[in-house]
Amino acid sequence: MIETVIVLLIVAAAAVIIGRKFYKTLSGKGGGCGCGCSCGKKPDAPSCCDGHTVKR
Amino acid sequence: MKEKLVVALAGNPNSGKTTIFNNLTGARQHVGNYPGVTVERKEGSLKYMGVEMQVVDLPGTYSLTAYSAEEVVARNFIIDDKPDVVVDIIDASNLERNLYLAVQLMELNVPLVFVFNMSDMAKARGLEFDLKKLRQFFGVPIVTAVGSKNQGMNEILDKVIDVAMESSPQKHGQVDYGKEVSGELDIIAGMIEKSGETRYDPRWAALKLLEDDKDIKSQFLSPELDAQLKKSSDRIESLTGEIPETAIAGARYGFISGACQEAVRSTIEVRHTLSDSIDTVVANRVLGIPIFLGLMYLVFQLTFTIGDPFMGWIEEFFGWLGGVVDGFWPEGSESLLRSLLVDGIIGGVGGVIVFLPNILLLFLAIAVLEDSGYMARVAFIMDKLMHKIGLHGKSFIPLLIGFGCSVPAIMATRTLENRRDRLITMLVAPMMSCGARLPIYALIIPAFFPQSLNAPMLWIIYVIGIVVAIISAKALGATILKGESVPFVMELPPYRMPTVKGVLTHMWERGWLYLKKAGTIILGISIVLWAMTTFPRPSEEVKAGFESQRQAVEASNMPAEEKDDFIIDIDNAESEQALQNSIAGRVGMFIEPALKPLGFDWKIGTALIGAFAAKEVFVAQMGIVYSVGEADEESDTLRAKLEENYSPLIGFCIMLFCLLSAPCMATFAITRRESGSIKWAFFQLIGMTVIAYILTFIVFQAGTLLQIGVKL
Repeated sequence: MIETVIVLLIVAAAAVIIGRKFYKTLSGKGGGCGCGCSCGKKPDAPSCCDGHTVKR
Repeated sequence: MKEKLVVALAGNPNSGKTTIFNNLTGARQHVGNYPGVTVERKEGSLKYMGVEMQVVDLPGTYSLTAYSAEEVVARNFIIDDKPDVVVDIIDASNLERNLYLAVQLMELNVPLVFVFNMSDMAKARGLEFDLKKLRQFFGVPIVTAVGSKNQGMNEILDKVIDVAMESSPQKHGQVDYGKEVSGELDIIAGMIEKSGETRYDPRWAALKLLEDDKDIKSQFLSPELDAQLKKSSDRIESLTGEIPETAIAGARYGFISGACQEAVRSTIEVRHTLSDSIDTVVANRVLGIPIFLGLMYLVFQLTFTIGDPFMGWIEEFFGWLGGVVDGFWPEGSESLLRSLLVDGIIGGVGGVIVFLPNILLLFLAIAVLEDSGYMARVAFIMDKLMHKIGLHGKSFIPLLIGFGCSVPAIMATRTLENRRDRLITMLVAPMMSCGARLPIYALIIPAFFPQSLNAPMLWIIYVIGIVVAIISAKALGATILKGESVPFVMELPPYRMPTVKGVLTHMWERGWLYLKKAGTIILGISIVLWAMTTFPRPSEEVKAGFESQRQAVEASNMPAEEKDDFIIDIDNAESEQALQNSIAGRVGMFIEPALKPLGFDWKIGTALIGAFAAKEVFVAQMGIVYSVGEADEESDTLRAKLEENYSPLIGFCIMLFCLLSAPCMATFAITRRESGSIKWAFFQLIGMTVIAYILTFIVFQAGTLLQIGVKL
C-alpha cells in the first residue's frame, strides 16, 4: 500500500514537471530559453544549445 | 572609472572572437572554424587587476550596415548600450578585409582597442606589421594575440583598462570621402542635428543614410530629409559615376589600402599556401562531394567500431543495476515500485545513456572537421548544388550545424540576409539527422544488420536526410516561397590544426548535454510513460484466469521442461494483455491502423508519439514497453528483443520515419520563435510528417513486394 502511494506520488510529480515544461516551451511563455532544456532562462536569452550567459 | 567595465568584442565572422571570449571569461561557448557560429550576443564576466569587467561577445559582422540580423544586433548594442570599450578582433592574416569593419567602428566614435588575432598565422604568411605606424593612422591602440594559444590575453585586458581610464575621447583617423561625398554628408548631418536626434552621431547617421541603410532610413522619415537624400545621391552619382554606397566603400578601402601599404610588409611571396594546396583537392569540383561523403562514412565507421565495446560495458552495468534493484523484492513479486525502478527508470533512462559513447565519438569527429575549417569547404562545394535549388552555399552552414542539433541550426539561419532563404533553410534544417536521433540508429542498426553493414546503413540514413532536405528546399522555393536568392561570396577560412582542448571541450559539452537531458526530461517522461504502460492494472478476474491456466499446467503430467515453456508462454500472454489494456496500449491500438501500412505496430506507435518530446524518448519507450511487456527475461538486451519481434525492413522504416517525421518539441518552439509565426512551425511539423509517412510507406510496401529484408 505504501509502495503504491510512493509510486503514485512520483508519477504525479513527474507528470506535473513535464506538463509545465511542455506548456512553457510550446507557449513560448515563462522560464524556458526555447530550446527545450530546463535552464530557466528568459525566452529572449540565448538558447543553451548555442551557449548561455556564463559567469566565471 | 566605472566599477564594472562593459567590454564588447566585435569583429568579422571567423576572426576568433568567441575563442578570445572563452579565454577571457573562462566560458565554453561553441567555437567553429566557419563564419556565423555566434548569432546572438553572449556575456561573461571576469576580474582583472581588481577591475570587474562584463564581456559581451557580439555576432561576427563584415560591416555595420543593416544587411543581416547579426549586423543589427552588433550595431544596436554598440549604439544603445554604449560599452565602455569596444575590442575589435581582427584576423591579422586577412588584414585589409577585416579593417573594413574597424574603420566603421572608428566612425562610430566609440573607445576602441584593435586586437590583431592569429598573428602567428600572419607571420607564417610572411606578413610584418609596423604597429606604431598603424596606431598613428587609426588612432587606436593595437595588441597582437593568438587566441587559439591563449596568448596576448593579459595585454588585451591591460589595454582595455588603459582606454577606459583615458579622460579625453580617442582621436580616430578620418577617412577622406572626397569633396563631393563630404559636402553632401555635411548637409545631411546638419539636417539631422537640427531635427534634435540624439541616438546617433549625426555624421555617422548621414553616412548610413547615404549607404541606403534601411534600418536607419526607417527612423528618419521626413519628406525634407528624403528629398535631400535623393538630391545628394544623384549629385554624388553624377559627379563620381558611382552610387553613394560604392563611393563610400571605395573611400574606406582606399584608406585601408593606403595604411597597409605604409605599415604592412610581406617578407615572402606566398602564392600557394598550404590551405590552397589542400583546397585544390578537397574543394575540387569533381572530387569535393565524393570526399565529403567518404569522410562522413569514415566518421560513422568510427562511431560504431570504437563505440561498441564501451556501449557494451554501459549496457552490462545497467543490466547489473537492474538485477541488484530487482533483488530487493522476492522473486515473482508484483511490486509497483520495483517495476517503476527497473522497467521504467533503468529500462528507460538506462536505455538512452547506453548510447553516450556513440554520441561522444560523433561529436568528436564533427568538432575536428569544424575546427579544422573543413566544414566551410563543404558549404563551398555544395554552393553550386544549392544555387540550382535557388539557395546558396551559405544556407548549407545551418544545415551542417543541424547534424548536431536542429535548435542552433535554426538559430544559425539568422546569418542569411534574405527572409525567403532563411525560411526555406529553417524549414528543412530538421531533416538533417541530429545527435538525438543517433541513439535510435545505434539501437536499430546493430539489431537488424550485420556488423559490416553498420556504417553503410548509418551513412545511407544521413545521406537520405541531406537529399530530402535539398529536394524539399527546391520544392518550397518553386512553390510557396518563390523568389531569387541574394548573391553571396563564400568565405573560405584557412585550415587550422584543431586544438586537443577545443575538440575535447566540444565533445564533452555535447555529452554533458545528453546526460543532462537523460537525467531530467527523459527521466520525467520515462516515469510518465511507464505509468501509461502500467495503468490501469488488469482486473482480478483476468489475473485469476491466467492463474488457473498456470495451475492446470502445473497439475498436468507433461515433462518439467515442457511445463516451464508453457508457464513462460502464459506469463508472456498475461503481460502482453496487461500492456494492451494500459493507457499507452489503448492509444497505440487506436493509432495502429494508420501505422500498419508502414509496418509499425502499436508499440512503435506509442514510442513515436513520445519522440515528439525528445527523439531519444523513442529508445526509452521501446525499453519500457519491452521490459513491462515481457515476462521472459532471457533475451536480455533491447536489441535482442527488437530482433525477435521485427524484420530488418521494419527496422529501416523506423529509422527513416524518425529521421523525417515531426521534429522534436524544442525545434517546434524555436521555429515558431525564429520565423515569428506559429503557422510556419505547424507547417514544418505537418509537412515533415507527411513526407516521412509517404516515403516510409513507399519503402515498406516496395520492400514487402520485393521480399527485401522481410525475414524475422
